[in-house]
Amino acid sequence: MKKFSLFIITVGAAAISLSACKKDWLNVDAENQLATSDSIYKDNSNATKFTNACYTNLLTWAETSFAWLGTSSITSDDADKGSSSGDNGSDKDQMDAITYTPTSGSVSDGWKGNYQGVSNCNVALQQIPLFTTLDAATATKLKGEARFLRAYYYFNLVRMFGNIPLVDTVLNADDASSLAKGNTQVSSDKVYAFIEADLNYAISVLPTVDNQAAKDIGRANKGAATALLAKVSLYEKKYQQAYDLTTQIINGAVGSYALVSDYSKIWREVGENSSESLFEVQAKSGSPTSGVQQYSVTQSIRGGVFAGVTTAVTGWGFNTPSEDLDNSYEAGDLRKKATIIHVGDTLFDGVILKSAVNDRYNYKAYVSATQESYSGDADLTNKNVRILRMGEIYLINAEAANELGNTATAITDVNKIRSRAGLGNTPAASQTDLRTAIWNERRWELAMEHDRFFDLIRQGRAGTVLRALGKKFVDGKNEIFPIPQTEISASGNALKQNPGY
Amino acid sequence: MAVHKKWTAGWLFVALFLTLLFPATMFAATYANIVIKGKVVDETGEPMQAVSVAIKGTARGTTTQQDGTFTITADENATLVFSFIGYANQEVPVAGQATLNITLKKNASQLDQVVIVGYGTQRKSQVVGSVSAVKGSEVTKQPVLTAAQGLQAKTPGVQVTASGTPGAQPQLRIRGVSSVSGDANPIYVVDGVITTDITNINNSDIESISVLKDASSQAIYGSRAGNGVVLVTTKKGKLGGMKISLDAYSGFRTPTSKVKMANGKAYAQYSNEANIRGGASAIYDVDTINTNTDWFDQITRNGIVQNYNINISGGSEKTTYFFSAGYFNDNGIQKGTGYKRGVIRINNEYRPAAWLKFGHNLNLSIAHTDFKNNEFANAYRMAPSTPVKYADGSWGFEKNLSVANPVADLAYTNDYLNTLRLQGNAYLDISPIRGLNLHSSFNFDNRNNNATNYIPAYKVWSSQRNDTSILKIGRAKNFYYIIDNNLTYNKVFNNDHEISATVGYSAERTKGDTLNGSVKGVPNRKNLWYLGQGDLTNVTIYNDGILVQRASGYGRLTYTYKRKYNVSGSIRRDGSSNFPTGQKWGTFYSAGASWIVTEEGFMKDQTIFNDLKLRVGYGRVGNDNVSGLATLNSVTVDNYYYNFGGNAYSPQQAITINQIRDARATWEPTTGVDAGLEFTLLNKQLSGSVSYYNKLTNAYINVTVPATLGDADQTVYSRAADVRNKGVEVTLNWNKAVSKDFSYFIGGNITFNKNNVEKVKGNLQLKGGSLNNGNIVTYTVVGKEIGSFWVYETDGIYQTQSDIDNSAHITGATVGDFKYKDNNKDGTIDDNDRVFKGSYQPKVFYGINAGFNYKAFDFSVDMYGNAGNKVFNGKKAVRLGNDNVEAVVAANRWTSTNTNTNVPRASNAIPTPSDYFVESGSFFRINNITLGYSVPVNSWAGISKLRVFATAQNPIIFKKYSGYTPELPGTAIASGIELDIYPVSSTYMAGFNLTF
Repeated sequence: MKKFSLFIITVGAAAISLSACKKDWLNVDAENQLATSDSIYKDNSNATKFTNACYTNLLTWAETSFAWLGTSSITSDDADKGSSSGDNGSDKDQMDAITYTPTSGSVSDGWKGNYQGVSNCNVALQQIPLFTTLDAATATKLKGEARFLRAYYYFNLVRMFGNIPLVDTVLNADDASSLAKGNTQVSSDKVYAFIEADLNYAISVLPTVDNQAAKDIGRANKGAATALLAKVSLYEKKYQQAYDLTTQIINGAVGSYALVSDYSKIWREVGENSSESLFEVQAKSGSPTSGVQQYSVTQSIRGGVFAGVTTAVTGWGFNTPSEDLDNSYEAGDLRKKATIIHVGDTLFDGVILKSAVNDRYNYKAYVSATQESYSGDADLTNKNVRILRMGEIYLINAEAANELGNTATAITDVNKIRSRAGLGNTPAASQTDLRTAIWNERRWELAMEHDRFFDLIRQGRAGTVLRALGKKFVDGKNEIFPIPQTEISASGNALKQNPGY
Repeated sequence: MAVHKKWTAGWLFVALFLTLLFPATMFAATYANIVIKGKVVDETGEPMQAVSVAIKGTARGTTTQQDGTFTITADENATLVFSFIGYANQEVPVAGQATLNITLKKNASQLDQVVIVGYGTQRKSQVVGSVSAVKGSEVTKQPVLTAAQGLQAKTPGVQVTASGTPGAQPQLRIRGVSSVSGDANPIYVVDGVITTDITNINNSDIESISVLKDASSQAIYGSRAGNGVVLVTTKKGKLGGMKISLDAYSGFRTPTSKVKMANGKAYAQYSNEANIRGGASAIYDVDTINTNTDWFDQITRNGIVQNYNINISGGSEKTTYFFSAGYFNDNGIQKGTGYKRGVIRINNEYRPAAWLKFGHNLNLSIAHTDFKNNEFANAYRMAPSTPVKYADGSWGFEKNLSVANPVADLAYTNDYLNTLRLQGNAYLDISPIRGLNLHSSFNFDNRNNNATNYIPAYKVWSSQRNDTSILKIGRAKNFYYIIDNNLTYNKVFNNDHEISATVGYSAERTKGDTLNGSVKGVPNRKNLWYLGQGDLTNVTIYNDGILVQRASGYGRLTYTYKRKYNVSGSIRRDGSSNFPTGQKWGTFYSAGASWIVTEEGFMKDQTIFNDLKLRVGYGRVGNDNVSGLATLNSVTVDNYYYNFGGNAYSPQQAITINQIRDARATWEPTTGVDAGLEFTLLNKQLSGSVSYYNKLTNAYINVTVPATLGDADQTVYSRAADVRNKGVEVTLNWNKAVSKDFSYFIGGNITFNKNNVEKVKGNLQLKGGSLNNGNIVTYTVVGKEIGSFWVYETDGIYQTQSDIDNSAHITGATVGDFKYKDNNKDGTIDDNDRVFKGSYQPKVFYGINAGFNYKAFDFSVDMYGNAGNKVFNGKKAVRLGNDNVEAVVAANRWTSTNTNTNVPRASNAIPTPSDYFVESGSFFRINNITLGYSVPVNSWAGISKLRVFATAQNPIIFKKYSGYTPELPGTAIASGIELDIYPVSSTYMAGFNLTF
């Protein structure tokens, strides 16, 4: 008996000590999670994928969708909140009245979306050199693309917030000095200088649109970088630089571009990546998710009753073109009907709008359910968001030329735009009149294209124009948005709020 | 057996030989020695092995054999002392008898009851920590799904908050909230399987539940025990003939309280005024409004609940068996929701030899849950002037409102889940020598979930529609196992020194994966809900997995002296794959002592206390319920793809690094001390205990980092706050048998808990409790409770424009709006003027249990209450514009003719989160009233007992809160906010218990 018991104990002990005593028991790789210690660097396509993340940030809700409508469009005299009277879209009523505060969601989305974009670009720039087998030409091109997008994100940030933290590398959360970079504001001049440096690099390394492969359409190219630098120069009032860059573009030195003949087609699917386009946010409906998150549905017709072709994409009805914009067009301006859907209109795909909650809707955000690619999901449509196009290049050229005293060039540019819009030549001749005429052309040409509010501020007349419409624009305060309160708190109050908020 | 007899014979021979060899002068006395033989049995006649037979006054003695017999040589005038753990000692004078047959009686002291603690049992007197035991029968009399919910009001220190959705498990908090982020629920150990979900356990299968409440009792579970441990032991077969029992009950659930909403005309008037205040014009023509839809009634019903169960158990010396099968069906009070579950359990044990036992506990559970979206928020907001359907049969809608028609939404939701879960263990017990037991077990939990969610194409109106049908299919599985081996040694030395040692180790693994697919354009027929029926050019796939491995070593040593003084300590070392390299291991320990005062000599003559025990314990435990922290440099695949090349090309994948991890991440440790006294008085009729506890947790927080860091969710999980919970628990129970026919009991427990945040690292701003409209309402700071409400302070209502102009006000304030206090006197109303207005954590919670037995009737009532906590009426504080309002708000709103009120004027602006929405959360509820009658059957047809009963669960609640329910589960920094809530329901049912 005793022997048998001892035998059992020994066998038991042996079995026990053998089971599950592997040394690596606690060192398991996390399931479904890539890590940079993996063989990521052995596959050069991953370098491209890191760069692609700079672009995918353009598709997010915070970057290009509802919040951006609030900060760039509804604030201006071109658009109203829209939608039904009770639905405020959480703070779009505040954006419309310019009563937003540091806790407004649209404001904090704008901050977060753009800084996430900056971070993705910094990660790409950090990771690309780690691909040791990647050829230098591709690596340089990818870096150029990342820097172009980083410049775009910073351009949005500096226009919106003024003095902001300048993050030029990936931050290390465990390192106090690194963290401080993310919490220390620098002056907007430094930010603009940084943007220019990024864009100059991009211009020097990126291919022209003619030299881009078909599969690379939508990637940043020399023309896009030049156009963005020209626009940035305009905001900095560096008119000579703006003039020179836009002249280069117009002359085809950085790629072949031209105005398309039919203005109404620019924002439609047939007008995607046309000869006029310098940079667009590329969207595709269907799966996998690659559309701009709810860009169209937030602006689509609300409560619409249709006749004719009755299958139409409907939506929330925000960012409706204002009565002020509607009444401002000259008679015969083709751009009015191409920008604004009125109740009673027949749309290009045969849809007749009999009635709706609002009087006007943004035609440029319209997606046709019958004549354009439409997967049935109104949230993720095929609609590309146009960022830079020749229409604006001509007007930047005109404005810069005019400020430099070169009225003749300015008038030529303006007339090109006007004739496409079905209008005669501009009657303006003096620099002052021409300036007003150019500003008006910018309004009509680029209506509902996310520029009006920033234009008015840049032109110094935001207060007078907006207060005349009842908005509570306060000079010295509302030229920039408040820094989000949550960000100030997260920084431990290292960030200082903008004046007046 | 034969060998033992040989040994005994051998010893006997030696003893005799020695006595003959050595003269009688070896012994002190000059009396004669005789050989005494005998047998010791217990009250049922069972022989008792290992009973200590000692010669009083000497150090000599022997123990009984397996058949209860003993042989000892002693002086014929000596006294023999028979003692065994759990039984009353007997001192028997030899008086010359050569044969002594003894019957030992069980010791009725409460302190000798067996308490289930981690990895074994202890006598209550030996327990140095705070352990509350609840019998299974206390849980089965309640029509609740999980035993966790049955614990409410039964144990002090345990707070149970139930959500009411069928199939859902309640939230448990043991002695306050320690974990700030992540799961603050305790773990459940069901027969050795460590799990967080006990919805698969049939309550009738539960023998008892032990709640380990303090660190000294929890430490043996080390890193799993930070939030407490609930040990569930299921029933096993007992020696004896086959026992069959049948239990059944059936009843219905109905909402307990409702909030009265404004009717159609009042709503229209309110909305018109709100629009005018906002600068727009009136939107309704009040006179044409004749509809008064009560949306709450439209989406609720009386839900039927049923439970049927059969148990068959019995056993012989060689095997014991326990089989049970049960069916539970709960239709929720929201239309279309429901939960059905079938459970089969087989707990058998086989004893091929006296020293060898095999056994298994197996539980198979199959459940089906029907989900619907929680429509109570929509029902609250939807316009009462809109009918459910128009005369032509189409769904009603209100175009001025962004709220879905809740009845339509219910009709268009098809969402169900089938779960198959096999849980249990197989074990082996070897006792090679007396007192030593090797327990080896393989415990596992295997789950398979199949989920289907189908939304058809429909249109209510342009803002409530779905253009193309969507089908989502989900498959999830998880296999968890834990191999546990431990060795326990119990020995009594010299009758006074008792040692119990346990040493063991375990290895654990859980692996799971999820696969979800979604497709559009699937027909609306249930047999066609497969992905292949849809548009396969547009499929979304999601696939993810989890793997966690753990290893642990543990030990416990208990030393008891004279059954009076007891010292116990445990130590455990845990390793987990959840943490980064270098942080994977942790050490947890406990130490404690108890003193049975009533065993002392000086207490022998007092008549006040029957039992009095003092205890104190200290321990360190941890919480490892965090995941994904091990990989410090993870690369994320972006949700969005980017379409380069236009329509002719496919979108490309993007990857980036946007998850920041703390390289020093490891356990969330809690250290705590616990002291208490337990007593019984008045002939054991009054029993009670008082405990004091104090514990400190270094808690994990999702630290909000600035957006400039590029972390996608802007949070980094890091240990950044110290939270202390301290309090006192008092329990008193009075049991009196007045006569043969009548006995009654009344008992209560009360817990005072104080939660305090002691330290927060750096400049962290732990603001939370988002209302999803841009407002947050809680702020966790040093010196206050977790999740304290932090709101603006109202100061009356503006009556005139000059009042507004002369005070600090929010932009856009008009007459009839709230005036807010400018607490920092800076002339503006902003976050710096917010104040703390209490928290959802109660200062006191208590339970009262009472009942009586009179002849064949039994009656019991359980009550539960909370005091000193606050709730935030979130749904009232979230207005999307033109929503419905409560009838009280509409009737009492400020207007130019009704200025003497505390309700502001009609408004569509986002309400400012102020103390107007902070209400008292104190409540008192009758949990359960049960009346039963045992039908006199006189063993007719073999029936040994038939009891019929009727029960009302939650029939009445007394509360000050104006919303639906003051019991609001949530995360630590966002609890107590009523946003989307399931109202409390009352259940009325009847049933029977039948035993053969």
